[in-house]
Amino acid sequence: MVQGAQLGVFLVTIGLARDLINMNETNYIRGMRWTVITASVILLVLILTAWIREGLFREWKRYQMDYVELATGMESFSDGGMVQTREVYQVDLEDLGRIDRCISCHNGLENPFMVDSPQPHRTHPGNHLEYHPVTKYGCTVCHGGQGRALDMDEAFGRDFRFHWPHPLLSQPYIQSSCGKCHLAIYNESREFEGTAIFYSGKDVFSREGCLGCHKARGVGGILGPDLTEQGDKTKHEYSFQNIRGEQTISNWLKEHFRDPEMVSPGSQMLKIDLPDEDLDALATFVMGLAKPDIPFDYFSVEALREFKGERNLLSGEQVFSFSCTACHGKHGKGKDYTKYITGVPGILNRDFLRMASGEYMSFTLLKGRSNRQMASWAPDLSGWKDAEMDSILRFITDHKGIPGRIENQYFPGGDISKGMHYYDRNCKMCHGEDGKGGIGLAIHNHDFLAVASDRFLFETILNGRNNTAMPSWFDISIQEMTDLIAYIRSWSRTRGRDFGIRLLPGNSEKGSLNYHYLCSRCHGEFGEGDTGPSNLNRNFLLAASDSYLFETISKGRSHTAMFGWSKDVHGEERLDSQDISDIIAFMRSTVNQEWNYIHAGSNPGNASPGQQLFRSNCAECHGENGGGKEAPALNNQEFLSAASNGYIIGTISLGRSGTKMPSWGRGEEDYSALTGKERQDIAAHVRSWQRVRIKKDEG
Amino acid sequence: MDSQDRGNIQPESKVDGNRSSRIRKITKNFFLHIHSTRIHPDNLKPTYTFGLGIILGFLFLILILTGVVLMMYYTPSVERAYQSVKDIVFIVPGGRLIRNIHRWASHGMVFVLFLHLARVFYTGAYLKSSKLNWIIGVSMLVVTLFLSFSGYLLPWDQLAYWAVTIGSNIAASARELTDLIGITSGFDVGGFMKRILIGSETVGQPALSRFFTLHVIFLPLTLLILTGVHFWRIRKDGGLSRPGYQESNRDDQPGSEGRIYTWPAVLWAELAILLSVSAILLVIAFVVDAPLLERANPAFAENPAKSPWYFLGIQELVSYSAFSGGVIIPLLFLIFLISIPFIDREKQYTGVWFSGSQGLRITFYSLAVSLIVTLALLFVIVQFGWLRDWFPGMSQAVVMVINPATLSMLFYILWSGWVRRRTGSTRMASIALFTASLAGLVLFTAMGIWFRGPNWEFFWSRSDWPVI
Amino acid sequence: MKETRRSFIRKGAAIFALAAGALAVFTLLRQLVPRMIGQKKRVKVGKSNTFPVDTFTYIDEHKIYIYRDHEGVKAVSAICTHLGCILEIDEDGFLCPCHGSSYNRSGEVLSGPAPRALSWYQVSKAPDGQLVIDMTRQVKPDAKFLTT
Repeated sequence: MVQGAQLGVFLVTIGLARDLINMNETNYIRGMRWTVITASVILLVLILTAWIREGLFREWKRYQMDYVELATGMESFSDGGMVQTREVYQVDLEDLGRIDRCISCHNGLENPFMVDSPQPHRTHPGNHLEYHPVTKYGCTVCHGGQGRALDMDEAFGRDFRFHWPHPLLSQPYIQSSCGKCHLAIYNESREFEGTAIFYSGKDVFSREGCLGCHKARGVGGILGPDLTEQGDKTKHEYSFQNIRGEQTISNWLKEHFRDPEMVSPGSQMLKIDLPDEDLDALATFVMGLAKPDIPFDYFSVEALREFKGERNLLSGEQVFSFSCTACHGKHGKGKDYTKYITGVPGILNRDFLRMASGEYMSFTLLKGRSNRQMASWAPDLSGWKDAEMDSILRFITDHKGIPGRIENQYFPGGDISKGMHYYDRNCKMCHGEDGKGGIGLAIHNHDFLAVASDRFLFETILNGRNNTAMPSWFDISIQEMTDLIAYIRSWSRTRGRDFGIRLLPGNSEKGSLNYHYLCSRCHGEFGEGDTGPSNLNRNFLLAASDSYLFETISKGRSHTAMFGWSKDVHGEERLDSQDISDIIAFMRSTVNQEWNYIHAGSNPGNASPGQQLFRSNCAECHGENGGGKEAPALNNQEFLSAASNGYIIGTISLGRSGTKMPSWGRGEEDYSALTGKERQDIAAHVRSWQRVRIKKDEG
Repeated sequence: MDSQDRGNIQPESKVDGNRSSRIRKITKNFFLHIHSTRIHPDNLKPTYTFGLGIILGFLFLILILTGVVLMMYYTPSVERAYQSVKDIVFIVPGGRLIRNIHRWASHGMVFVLFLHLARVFYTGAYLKSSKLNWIIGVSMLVVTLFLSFSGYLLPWDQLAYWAVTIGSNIAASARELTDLIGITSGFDVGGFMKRILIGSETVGQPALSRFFTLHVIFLPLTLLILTGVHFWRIRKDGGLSRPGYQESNRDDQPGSEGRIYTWPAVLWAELAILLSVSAILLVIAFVVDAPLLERANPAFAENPAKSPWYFLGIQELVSYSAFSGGVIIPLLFLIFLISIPFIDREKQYTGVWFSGSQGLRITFYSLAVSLIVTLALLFVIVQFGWLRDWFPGMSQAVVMVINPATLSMLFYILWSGWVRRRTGSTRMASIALFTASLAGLVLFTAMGIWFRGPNWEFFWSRSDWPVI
Repeated sequence: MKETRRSFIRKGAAIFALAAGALAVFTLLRQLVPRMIGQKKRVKVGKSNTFPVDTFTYIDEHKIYIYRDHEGVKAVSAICTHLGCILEIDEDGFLCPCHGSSYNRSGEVLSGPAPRALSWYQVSKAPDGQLVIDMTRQVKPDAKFLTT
């Protein structure tokens, strides 16, 4: 267009020039006069056109005239008086930093008789104007659009030509505007008329575990962008290069949910496989997740509280639903390692729950796993509170369904052969044929069976021993347990029981000194187990009665390195009742103490044969150097700091049913069993990848 | 002396009133007495001057008038500037048109300014007059460019904000040199220039306030004063240039035959030009809207971020080397321009377009040389990259000295030197250098306008640009 | 004697007038150069554990990237040394969207019109545990503030 005009100028000049060559003064002036006339005529025409266009035929003037006609034509009520003269009506909203001129065309907004009239004269639907009067809120703060414009297309601001970042919203996305002021994610909030889809989107958001990677209002993960002000983002801030459909924010969100990696290359977000209406609702919700820059008195109280960081405590199940389900699945199944970029472990998996101690889970939650999707959920990073961290742990462990403390001492009866069957299937891989021991303790030991009551056995088998290779067999039935105990008892005539023993009041400090001087040699510096079993172990100490401890310490255990400290010693090392009471007092004091490290514990395995074994058995899935290909990464520093040697050996032995991890203790179809020694060697090799010992509480 | 049929406008003695009244109409009026009472007919030929100077004057007048109207509705604060411009477009009656006129007039003024510069040069007008007028003209060029640039920021939209950000970074190009030498921490010339320009490290309210003040008061006043001196010098030097000009036949010499009285011929001509310029502007303003993108957002850079079109040549140069493209070459070009009337004093060439057929030939050859050399260099850098792509790790100092811009410049200078030796004339040499440089500038500007897309990569057309 | 005094006074007056005028002009011109306020030199960016491991995290306020791995933390300028645009991260390191300058992960220039490498800043820890980036102190690219 502009070039055309320039060309025209050039031609006219040439034309003029040609006319004026060989001209005299008179003709020159004549030529100029003609130019003057032509130019003036053009100018006159254009200026008159401008006057007419700008003055007479403006869109809003027409609408106002139509409205007056409509209103006076109605029998019952005439509102023609409201729109007397043709002028621009506007609302000056200083608080919101805008001017809305929508009412210049939309004259019938508050006229209840215009319900059936065509737009722009129609009455505003619903009772929204009662609570959001136009004089205080204007229109664009809910509807979007360009409030200052006076032409429909510019006011709607939808076409990219107008460069207006807030196009007019239509249903259902307009419901997102309600959310911007009224939404409370974590606190109770009322649902208003006309917000059904928005709140349905909120339900989807809380079910699908979005907070696993994203933060919203201070709570959530750090892997993805913070969504707290996502709804404030304009089209300019989204990249549409891979969006095939409608170039709107709502469509971007929906296509993003369906295939995040295609829409945002490099994204690690998982696909959300839901029907279209759920995705619509979720998009509406996300568009309403915002913190608009308007005065605080426009917000609802619940929203304000949340902005300030005050919120109610959520239950463990809610926390799980908000932040864990996206990766770990709604039933904790995890994600297949071969189908996704990186798999996700199933944390409600039966075998996982058997092996993982509270410390293991708590450490993993707090520290996350570097270079993996599992972020740190420490309260100051994730926004979840300490109580909620505990709730989530309890939610997970509650899946074991373990009742409280067992009180029965005896479990009489029981079928020995059935018990043997159970034993051979589950216990033999560590405790050896006939209970003679292997990588696990020898149960077939008279001294042991003489002090261990049925209750002790029951509790140990049911709860396992945290951070050792002894799993928690929480899904064992009472019948199976009775059979198993019967089988175990068949090895010895003795039958231990807990008897009330009156201990002298123990001094745990002296006990600590004695423990560290005498007991640590075998039981480990922190009682985590070395050549002897782990005995500063919570599960153990809760299961073992005082009599058990006293008897074991004082009398020892034949055929093991544990000698009786009251009986079999010579010279100064002899411990009397007071000493033993002190030691027991010290041991008991460690049950609920604060811990900062998870100690690796005992493992007599050898890393070099372990490396060979790893290569031939494990590398196929776990990667040559444990980097994790189709299975979790084992060389991960946080994992190695959370997992004790017992956990590793136990997991190898048990496998994880429901996943591709076979039970190397039992052996399976394609995978033959590994001996206890072999399993220990592999664990030693895995342990050799540890470079740092990460503390739970870092400064 | 001018009765020969040279295609000039012949004077006649009886047109409007008698001689003395026609003289007095001019001399007794404050506004009209800028004109001389008589004018040589050669100066009235449209194909001689194309009226470019007067078009510029009228464009300036239109800009002032529309500018005053705009200024009444505009608010120079970063919170309100954008919305005040929107209100001008939506609410102010005829505001859309006024804004469009103002914008297209300003672009037109820069464009016509270059045409005027070329016209004055090629007709050798500086040869007959004092050197001062040429220098004043060059200063007016700089002031106009700055006027346009300062006005560009005022709408405070994405286009404006990033264009000025780029411009301010170009102003800081001296940093490339100080960084290479390593003296930036103590002697940051680039940073100093940037601070003076935009009042801070990034474009913000200080920049807007500065640019607004410059744009509405300081620069227009400066331009007005310069215009006054410019016109006065023309009068003092005996009128506009024309073929056959000599000191003895100046406009203000008594008894000069063949002169036409200014009243009314020249006045009609000026009126015609004023109305034509207005009409054309109004047509364009009706049809094409001045652009207004989203509100300026420092968090989201436009990609590509382009300065106004008349600076895109420099922006292209700067993409090779900040210092040589942003400081050295523009400075050298300005120095060259200013020095033309000092170097070239061959008065015999004044007044004739291209100073005769030899000059015309040299112009064409220079055009060809410039096109070939510059296009070849552009081709190389687009197809094959440049030194640092072939020799990774090479210091930027080498590229600063050797890049398509410096090489082109070197070539033009050599060409001009060769012309000097061949023709023995400084006029021919300056024609050669001027043509080559101007053509080169046009080429680089065209490159920056049409062939550079996101990440400043080469694209044949806009439709090839990837969506960001 | 009269002549010398008069001419002396005349010269003196001229010199003084000139000096006063020059100083006035210079002062006026000096007014055009703004005072730079709000430029931060030593900035706090939060605790080290808020930064994901093995990633470059952008801090918008100060235009720097923070890099953290298991051993420690580094900080690098995100401003292209060519004309001041903000750099993006790509596979090789950093890329400038304005004219295509590219840098490797240590901030050295690989190609493009950038004249020099990126500056790495000294990282230290404040008593409250937050990381402090000192943008007046440059360090070598491999210098890391150890957090283990």
